[in-house]
Amino acid sequence: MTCAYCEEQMSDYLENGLGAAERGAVEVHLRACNACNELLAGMTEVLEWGRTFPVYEPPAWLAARILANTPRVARETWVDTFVSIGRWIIEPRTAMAIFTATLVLGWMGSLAGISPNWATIVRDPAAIYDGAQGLVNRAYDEAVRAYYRSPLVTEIQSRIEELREIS
Amino acid sequence: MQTTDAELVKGCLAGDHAAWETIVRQFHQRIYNLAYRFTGRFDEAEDLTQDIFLKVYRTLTSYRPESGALVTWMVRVGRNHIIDQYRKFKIERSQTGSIEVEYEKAEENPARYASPAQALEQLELSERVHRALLRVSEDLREAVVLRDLEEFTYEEIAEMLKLPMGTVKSRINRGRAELARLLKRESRG
Repeated sequence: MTCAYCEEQMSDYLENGLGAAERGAVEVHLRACNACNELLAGMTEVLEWGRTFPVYEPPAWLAARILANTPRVARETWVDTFVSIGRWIIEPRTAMAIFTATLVLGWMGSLAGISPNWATIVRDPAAIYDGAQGLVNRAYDEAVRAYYRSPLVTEIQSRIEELREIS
Repeated sequence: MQTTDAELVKGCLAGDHAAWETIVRQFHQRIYNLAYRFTGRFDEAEDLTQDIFLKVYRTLTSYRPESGALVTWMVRVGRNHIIDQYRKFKIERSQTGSIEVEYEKAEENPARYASPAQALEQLELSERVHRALLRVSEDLREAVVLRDLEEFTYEEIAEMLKLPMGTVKSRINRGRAELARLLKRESRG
């Protein structure tokens, strides 16, 4: 048995997780190897430390402080989120803003020659989703390419590499 | 009659402040000690305990009683939070809180020690090993803390860290060996 293999078995040996044959082999090695014996003594000390590590009482004020701070954190459920979005949407100024934005975007779209194919959309409403997904994917790819082409990112990466090599 | 974890959580989610208070008072010692064992500092353990409880409060809806005890779930939330903090702020420490501060804390817990001399001896050993623990790599340290201080089973740790059992066993063994070597080096000066 090599020292490396003996070390791999040490936790199982200490926690009685080895079969009789393996345990015997480890013990034979330990009788002949000072280094492994010292390591075993050190690991035994670590286990003993874990068993006797003190359990501390938290300060008496800690629970009170946690309780006093809790109400400041609003726990939000999905229903709360939808309700708050609903409330926001039906506010007159939000509704007016959405209406105006739709109108302006539609007008700009028609000026730019973009006219949705309403017949297709009515036949297959999922086409809107597919189209939007394609648009988002293209935008994402473009953003990733722009990121990697950016001289600032290249500079930062090369500095990190330099620092790694130095350390 | 003992209130179950599921009842406590249900009460909390329904806005019952008393249920939340029960959870805080019942488990804050466990979370405080978890935080101390990872950081080695009482002041940070206090702040982390508060942060962990606020996180638990915000995410109580994701607790599933059928998947285990509330305390196990809270320890998992706490452990993730502590590791996140370490990664976010790249906290590197070479020593624990001063022995004087630890001794003061020990004096506040007299029942745990037979005598002041025993308390000091225990704290010196504790500080020596804890200082070495903070020099062990993060992966090995969390495995050793969860196994040897928090006394989770290998299966629980594998589930908590989302790692195969073999990797967990290997990390714990390497962590203990690394600690033993550091202690030996330190004792030789």
